Amino acid sequence: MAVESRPLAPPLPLAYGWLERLMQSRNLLGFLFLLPAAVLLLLFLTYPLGLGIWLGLTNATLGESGKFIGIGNYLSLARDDVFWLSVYNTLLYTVAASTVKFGLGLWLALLLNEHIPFKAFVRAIVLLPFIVPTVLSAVAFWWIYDSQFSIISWTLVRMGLITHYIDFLGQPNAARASVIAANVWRGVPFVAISLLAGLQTIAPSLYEAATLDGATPWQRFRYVTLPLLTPIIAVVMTFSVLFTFTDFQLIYTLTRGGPINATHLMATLSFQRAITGGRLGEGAAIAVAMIPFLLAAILFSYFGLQRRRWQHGGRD
Amino acid sequence: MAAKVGALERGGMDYLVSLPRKWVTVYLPLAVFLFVLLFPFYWMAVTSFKTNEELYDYKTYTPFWPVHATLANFHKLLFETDYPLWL
Amino acid sequence: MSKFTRRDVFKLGAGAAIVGAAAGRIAPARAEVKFTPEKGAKLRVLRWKQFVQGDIESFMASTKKFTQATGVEVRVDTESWEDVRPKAAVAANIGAGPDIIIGTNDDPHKFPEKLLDLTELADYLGQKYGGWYDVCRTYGTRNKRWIALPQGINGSCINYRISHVKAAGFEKPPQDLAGFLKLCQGLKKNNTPAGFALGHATGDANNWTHWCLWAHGGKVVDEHDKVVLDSPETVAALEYVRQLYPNFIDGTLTWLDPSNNKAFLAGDCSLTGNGISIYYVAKNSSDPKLQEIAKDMDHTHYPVGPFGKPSEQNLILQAFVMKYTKYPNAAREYLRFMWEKEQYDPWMIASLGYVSQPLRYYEKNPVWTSDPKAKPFGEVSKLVLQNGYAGHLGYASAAVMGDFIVVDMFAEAASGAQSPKDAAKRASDRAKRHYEV
Repeated sequence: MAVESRPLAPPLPLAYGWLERLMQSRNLLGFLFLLPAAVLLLLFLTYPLGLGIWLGLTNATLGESGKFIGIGNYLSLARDDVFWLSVYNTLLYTVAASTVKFGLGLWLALLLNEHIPFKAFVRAIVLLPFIVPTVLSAVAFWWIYDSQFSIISWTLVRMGLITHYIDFLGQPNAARASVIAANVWRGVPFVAISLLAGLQTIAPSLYEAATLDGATPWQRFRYVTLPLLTPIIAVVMTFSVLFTFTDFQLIYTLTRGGPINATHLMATLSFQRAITGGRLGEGAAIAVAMIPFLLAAILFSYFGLQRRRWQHGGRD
Repeated sequence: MAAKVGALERGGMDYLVSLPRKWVTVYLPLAVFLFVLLFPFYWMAVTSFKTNEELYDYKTYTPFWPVHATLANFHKLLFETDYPLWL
Repeated sequence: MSKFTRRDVFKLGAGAAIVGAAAGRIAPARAEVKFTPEKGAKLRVLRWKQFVQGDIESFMASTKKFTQATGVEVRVDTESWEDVRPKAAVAANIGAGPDIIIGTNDDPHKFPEKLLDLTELADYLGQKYGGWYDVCRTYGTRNKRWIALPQGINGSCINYRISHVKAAGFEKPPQDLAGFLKLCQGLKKNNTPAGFALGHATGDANNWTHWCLWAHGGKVVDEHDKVVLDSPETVAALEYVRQLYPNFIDGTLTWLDPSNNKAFLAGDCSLTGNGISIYYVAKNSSDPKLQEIAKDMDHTHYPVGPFGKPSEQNLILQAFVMKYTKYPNAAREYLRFMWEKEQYDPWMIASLGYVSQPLRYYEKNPVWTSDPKAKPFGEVSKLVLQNGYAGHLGYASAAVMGDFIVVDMFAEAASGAQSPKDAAKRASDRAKRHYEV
């Protein structure tokens, strides 16, 4: 029998009822496949998110569900010095920590990409600060930053570089720097390993071709590595920025919001207002106030993820 | 020489980098990274074995090694708190 | 019917009770108040996590005695006292959870209508045991009805190093503010500085900053819950701390609750405000250096300022019963049992002085006389004012404390981040947001 060429999704003969046609339709099948994931998303993402947004519009407290008060919480927060300080702190913390993490992470990834003895072992051990529970490393840093017993101060004094123990967490700006340093320490491995994975997808032949053309190491990096790495960078930095912006454990363990609220991030302030202070509605409002910033970060990386022609040798 | 031969056998452009140069640009920074990333773990391990007086007194005892290593802290953790329950 | 009978007996016994109480002894023969537990009653108790092991052991032993005597099963869960607060609020909100909650401070005043009336029990205990301290009465009652039974006060005193204070020119820390400042300056000169927490230390920071505020006559709200924090008295308190702060040890701006313990035990800090934990740890340590510190330290009360009388702030431990409980009488009987001297006295001893009594009779408990250095803690109950003084306890007072408004105000003024006037104004604005709802 001759093989007839048939279209991909042939319309069913009219002898079938509409139910059978529905069952066979690709759309329904697609919908059914999506259903489990959608249910999960709905339950664990949409519902809490929706509840949080709703709570931010009420004056709920930890003992009673409140009444709807519209944007009352947000108006009240707009007059609150501490809230704006936490916004400033969060932006400063995120920008500073992410920038340093990116720089150091990229450098570390390039180093790990080289051929070194015990390559696999080194790559694994470098990941340790990231996989260890945050509270653990926070406590470690709390001890390292102690104004009386800091090992850093002790060493610097012994080396004769300073005379007075450093008050790491006791001064507002020093506290901010210390907390950023702790965050960078924890986050660099994540950025490094992710970028390393990206580096390994770049074909060595490209480097060889560049070297044959007389490129210096810096030029190789700028014209071969960076362009091909951009999509990975976009993904990694999005995650890094998101995690840094919503950081809670590190700040809470180290300073609880710090010398006169100098290290209070929006997440820790939200907790202090909602749970410790009992005003659930206000805490939820602070948490919801984080959403515009996070959306901005995501959109930024979304456009970074778009493939550009120049990454593949064409003109933009 | 042996390094260069090894590099040649591995392929790629490693053979172009001389060993001293590799030390400065790769090994040294990597060592610093590893030190910074792993120091807090070492510090915590050493601290957990120290007695309280060693912990607070840096004049008599060096802070970098527990002179009178003790398991007292672990004993307290495992037997006098709810830690095993949480595990 | 039986309630009526008991009240009659109360009135008869009241006269005898007053005579007995005046003599400082338990009220003589009068009908014991007992509640008959419901049949098949089971109780769930949620209490704050013990500070010393002896506390929970004694508590559980007494609980077992109760079960043996009445047949009521009791399950006791412990949580850190900061976690009991949200759990209590959630239980009140959803109407299910533990029957009895032993929490802290303003907890019962956040949902008073959801709590069982304990007036009868509280009156009975007050009459039998010499009366409740004023601050305990304030914490336990709302509109003259008892909604909670104060279990005790987690007292704190000035902990100081005897030799260092002497070297600064004082026999012991003076009880007036000017002298106290001079002492701290002297301590700093000798490189044995004092230190008080100015970070978000839930216990220590609130404890001393509220004392300082109230001692100068300042307060967050007046009797009508109107915010009066921005006042000359407050500014005076802030000025005082601004002079005090340069004499502190480094790092106090970020001190959390354990920080002053650490510094004192290391010998770096010579004077701080804390509970009996520092002394207890030093005394029972096998380290000779800590033993030395234990011998060289003592406790005394906070100074008294222009306010005219003591004005300390401490953590009050309170037991309250949720209305949704199926066994109200069993709950009341359990509380009565645990507060009677056969159970309460040994528990106080086992708590090693962490808990100061809520009832005057227990001033005699041997835990205060076994070690003379523990004696000041036994007197703390007389010296305490309630949170949100002079206003009412409730959501607003709890929120102001939880948001560290007073602590931040003092930290800002002390460090010079704000002038005292500005710091007072800012804190006042922050407090208004909580009280104006």
